[in-house]
Amino acid sequence: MTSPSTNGAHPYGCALEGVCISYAGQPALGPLDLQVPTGQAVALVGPSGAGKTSLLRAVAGQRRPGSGRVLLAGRDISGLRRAELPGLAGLMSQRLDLIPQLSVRHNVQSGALGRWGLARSLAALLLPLEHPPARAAARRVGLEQLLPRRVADLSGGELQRVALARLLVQDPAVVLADEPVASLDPARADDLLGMMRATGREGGRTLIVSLHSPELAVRHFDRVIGLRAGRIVFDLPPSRVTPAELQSLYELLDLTPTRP
Amino acid sequence: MSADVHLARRPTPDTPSPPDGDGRAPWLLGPALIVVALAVLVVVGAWAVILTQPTTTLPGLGVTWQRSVDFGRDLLGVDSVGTPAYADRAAWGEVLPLAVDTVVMSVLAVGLAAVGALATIGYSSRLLTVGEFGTHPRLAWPLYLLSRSMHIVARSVPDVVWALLIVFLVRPGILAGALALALHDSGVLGRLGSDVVDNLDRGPLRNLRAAGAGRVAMVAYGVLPQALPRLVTFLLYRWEVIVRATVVVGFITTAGLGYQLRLDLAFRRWTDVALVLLVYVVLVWGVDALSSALRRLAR
Amino acid sequence: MSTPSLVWVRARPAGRSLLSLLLVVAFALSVLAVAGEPVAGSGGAKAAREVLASLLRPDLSLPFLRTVAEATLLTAAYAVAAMTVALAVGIPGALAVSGVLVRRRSARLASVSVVRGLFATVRAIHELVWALLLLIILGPNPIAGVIAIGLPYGATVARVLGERLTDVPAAPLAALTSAGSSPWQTLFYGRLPLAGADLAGYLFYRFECAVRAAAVLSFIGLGGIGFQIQIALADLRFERVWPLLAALLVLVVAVDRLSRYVREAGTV
Repeated sequence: MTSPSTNGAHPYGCALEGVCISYAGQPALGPLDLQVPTGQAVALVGPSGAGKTSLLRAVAGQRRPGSGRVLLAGRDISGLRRAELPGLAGLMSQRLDLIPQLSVRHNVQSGALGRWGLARSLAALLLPLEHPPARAAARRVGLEQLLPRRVADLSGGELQRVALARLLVQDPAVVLADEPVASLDPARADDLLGMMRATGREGGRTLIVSLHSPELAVRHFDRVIGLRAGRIVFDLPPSRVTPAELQSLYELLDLTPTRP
Repeated sequence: MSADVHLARRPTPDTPSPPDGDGRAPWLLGPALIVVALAVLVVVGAWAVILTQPTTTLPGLGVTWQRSVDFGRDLLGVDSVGTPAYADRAAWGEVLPLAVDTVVMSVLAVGLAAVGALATIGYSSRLLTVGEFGTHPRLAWPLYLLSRSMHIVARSVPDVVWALLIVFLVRPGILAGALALALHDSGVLGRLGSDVVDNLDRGPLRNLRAAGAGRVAMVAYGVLPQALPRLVTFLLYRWEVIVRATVVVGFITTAGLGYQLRLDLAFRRWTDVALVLLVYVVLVWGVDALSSALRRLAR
Repeated sequence: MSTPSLVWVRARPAGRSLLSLLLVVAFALSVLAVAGEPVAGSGGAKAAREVLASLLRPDLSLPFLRTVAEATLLTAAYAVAAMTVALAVGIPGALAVSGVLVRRRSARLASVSVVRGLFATVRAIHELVWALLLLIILGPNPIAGVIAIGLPYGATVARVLGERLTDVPAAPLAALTSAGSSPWQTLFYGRLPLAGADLAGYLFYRFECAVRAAAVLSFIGLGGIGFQIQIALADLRFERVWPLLAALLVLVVAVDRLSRYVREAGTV
């Protein structure tokens, strides 16, 4: 495991204490305890319905846990002001949630909205102005040439990179991504995860990514956590994740009734 | 602590600046700038025309407010002697039958418009004439163009103007009003209807044709089941619009609440005006509510 | 025993059958209600013949065409001016009725219901009835005509615009919000682009309606195409009606083309 690297930062980028989440009375996650050191790259693996999305949404502050606490850089998420959250955690959802009618540039720049006032946001939308960090982020993910294009005209892999660039502009300390490579072919998936890893390392960011493919998890991450039915089944460095472990993760599920 | 780290990680200035790279103007309004300038010009020109009309006056706000208040008092009958019409049983007794006439006129108009539209949609839809599922190779284009132009003419002329023309041909009354409303609306519905048909899911139609369905079978099994619910929804929407318009058309065809309103205004019977307006607004709301309830039924 | 080729089943959902029945019965009743009335108009067949005959010899003399052009321009000016009023009322109205700028739920409900009730009343009254009422307050004044159309149209724009701004997909908006975007920023970076070209197309459709409404402002004695039509009809000069109608047609079709163009340019 990588040790906390960022100078002066809280040792744990993110921590969960006894977090429970349920949907319509059906438990979806937890109780769960988890500590992720600052700068670490964590992969969440497990079958559909294991609670990966719930966990990510809880850390991103988009889903209030029924009980337990979520801590970002040591601070309880429920005590944060609205303006503080975007700098602490940012989630790239599986649907990406881009605005198809806007250009790549405006989508990427919308990551900065939390730091901008209305006048600056409007100027950036309507006048030929550019936010330098947005260009830098686009360059970082290889999208610089596509900046003026409408998002509706892009391919799946390009869309993923637009969402990543938007997140880089938002610049959260903890980057969360829900199945970012689910719709990509293996080469592009490798490419994107490598890029996420690299950008995370550059910014000293903590990275938590849910994946369907255990192979990718082992190849790209510092730590692999197996989730099943809302509980942690294993929590290992990639070198110690064995095929047997993975098999148990997915096989056991067949015996358990799945939730819709 | 963590906030400091957060700031330290952002070396670049956090301000948008002109782009250096790809040369193309990245802004939303860029390509549309001429359009925007043109629109501003049109708006300024239009207001210039309006403000330079010989009868244009710009009454002061104070005067306008005073007149509005006076008019409001007139409507409520504050200073008049005798019972205001809205508190008078007999006046209600006169107005309510007119409200019924108005409803009859609107329903008749919607029905006639629907008949007119349904009779022509088959010809005004591209798909069923000159498009993929057309069958009359020689007559397709003439029929298509004829029914399209009929819809355009019917739609472009407002119902009020149709009413002015129709009273020369049909005795003024409920029927004349309904015809005027229906004429305009058959154009509106015809256009909406042919759009619906042209945007149908082609898959089922192709399957039907592959299964050897003829034109009638195709319409009955492929077009109508898909299009009819949407058409009924449009019909109900248009009913809401038509009920509002019955009053105005009634001015000309001397029928329903509209004619009463015209008389009351002409004779300055202000409290009667208030009563008619009240019944009118309640009627419109009632129809809106009924229409949305029926639309829910259609789903 | 042979199998019958067709059997009765309950094919359609009950709601729809009931609705069809209701609509047909309502229409039949309305027909019965006017069935007894005499149909022929005052002029009878003679008038009909005259009206149709005039179609073949429309008045295309230069002075009259000049009148037509002026009337058309005036009607267009009324429509444009009315639309500016409608937008001035409708855009703030839409933000108020949709409550998209208010974060607190209770505040949203309060603002929404008050403004909605007000606008529903304004909208219920036809623009020409507004014209008649404003005539009493403002006199035979073109401003009265502009406000008469602009006010109810503004209320309609407020409702439709408000609905379109609320009916956009929620997930992209939530993504913006979690990136720290305020309701106003979300309006410009999320709601407006998502509602998009359809919205612009709708505004042009409203404009088309405004052209038709402006054409009949003659009701309160204001000029334009409708005024000229009324004069022509009063003088029984049907040959003058057709060029006027043609001018109106051109105006409406032009705006309709514009609306389609905007919609298609934005959605392709």
